[in-house]
Amino acid sequence: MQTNDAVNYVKGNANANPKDKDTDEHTRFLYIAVLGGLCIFLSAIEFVLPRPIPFFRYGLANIPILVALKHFRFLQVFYLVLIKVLGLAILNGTLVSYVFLFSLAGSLCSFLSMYGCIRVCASRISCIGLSVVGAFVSNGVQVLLAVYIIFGTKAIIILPLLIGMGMVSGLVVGICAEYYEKKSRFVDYYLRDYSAIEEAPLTKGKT
Amino acid sequence: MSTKYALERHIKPYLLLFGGIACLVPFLLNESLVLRAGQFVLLVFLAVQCKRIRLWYFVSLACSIVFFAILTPAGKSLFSVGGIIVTSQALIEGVQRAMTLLGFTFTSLWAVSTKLRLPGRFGNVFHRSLLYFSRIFSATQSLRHGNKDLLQKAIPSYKKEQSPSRMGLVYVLDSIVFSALSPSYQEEASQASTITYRAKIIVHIGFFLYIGIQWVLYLLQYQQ
Repeated sequence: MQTNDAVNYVKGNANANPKDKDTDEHTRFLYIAVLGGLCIFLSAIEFVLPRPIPFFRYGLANIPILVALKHFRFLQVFYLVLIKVLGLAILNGTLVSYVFLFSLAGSLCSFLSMYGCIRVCASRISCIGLSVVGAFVSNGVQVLLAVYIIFGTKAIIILPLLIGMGMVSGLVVGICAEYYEKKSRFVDYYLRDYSAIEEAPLTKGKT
Repeated sequence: MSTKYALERHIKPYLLLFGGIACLVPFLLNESLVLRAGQFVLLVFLAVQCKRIRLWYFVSLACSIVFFAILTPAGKSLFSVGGIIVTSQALIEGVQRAMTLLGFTFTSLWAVSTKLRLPGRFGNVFHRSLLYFSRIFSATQSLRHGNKDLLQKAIPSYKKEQSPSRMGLVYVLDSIVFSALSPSYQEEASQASTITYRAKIIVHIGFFLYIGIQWVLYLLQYQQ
């Protein structure tokens, strides 16, 4: 079957020499590239969805990042976050604009907070919890940047509304990510071998 | 031939990006509101030529920037709207700020090409992501248009008698991702390049002329 060929193609690459660090590293980055493609695709879908208020975003592109956080190392997820931000900026043509700066700041801060959570809580935190934390931090950072760079301090009154809406969308995205992680054959075939939790030095009994 | 197509086809992505930055420098340094407005109009013109723009979004953004700026009164009182006193300095500051931020965005729309290659390992991973995105996107296009032959090519496990809407979203997404990873995936043949030397020269001259006009508008402030 062609699907299995695809699985074997990449998995075979990974299993060519399990002790070969370079091959393993290469395969991990290949998966990250696939998830990056998925991130950009979901961003494109989000672009055509109607928005309740002009500056509101659903954050569908965060679904692959939430999945990757549980399976990959810091640098690989960091690459994925950069791919998401840069890919969207290049496709939408906002690379040299404030939109890119806001997106980068929000995404990096939310990534660091989510990574911190997964290092501290390990398997006790679900994609939903991670997503809510990430949404809170990302929206908070972006709204604060908007207040101090674009709109001025008077606009602080919109902070609770935007953060509130961001939290709701974060919850929905988290539920979607949890569902995708459980149901997806791609995650099952490709990513189960790569657990960030197993590799985290803070987790007892694992190296 | 659209302007964006002409720019991306004839001008190298890095030159396009540096051209955008070369336009932004005089735009940001210009202190004259009128000349800056002229530069802004030029930036909007090229952006509109290059990309389909949702103008209502940019208009609403500009209005909200100006609105929040006039909430902090500064300078002479001009008029009053719904109890809010509009002052001259606050209004100018709001307009300047809106023009700066939107100028950046409009420049980005034509200066950033999808063909831009980034250096290093990250550049390679990023480029591969864009490749997977285009594969995923083309597979989805076949879903949208109901082209079952294309769908079967994109999703190997798909059977023609199956309705895409009954397959389940995660299943469809997985199948598209699997097909994108498959080594047997055939890329669509790219169109033969028929770039003429003359067209290339004309586009380059037009592009450098455009950057030159931006700098002339910047230098004109010293003549006033």
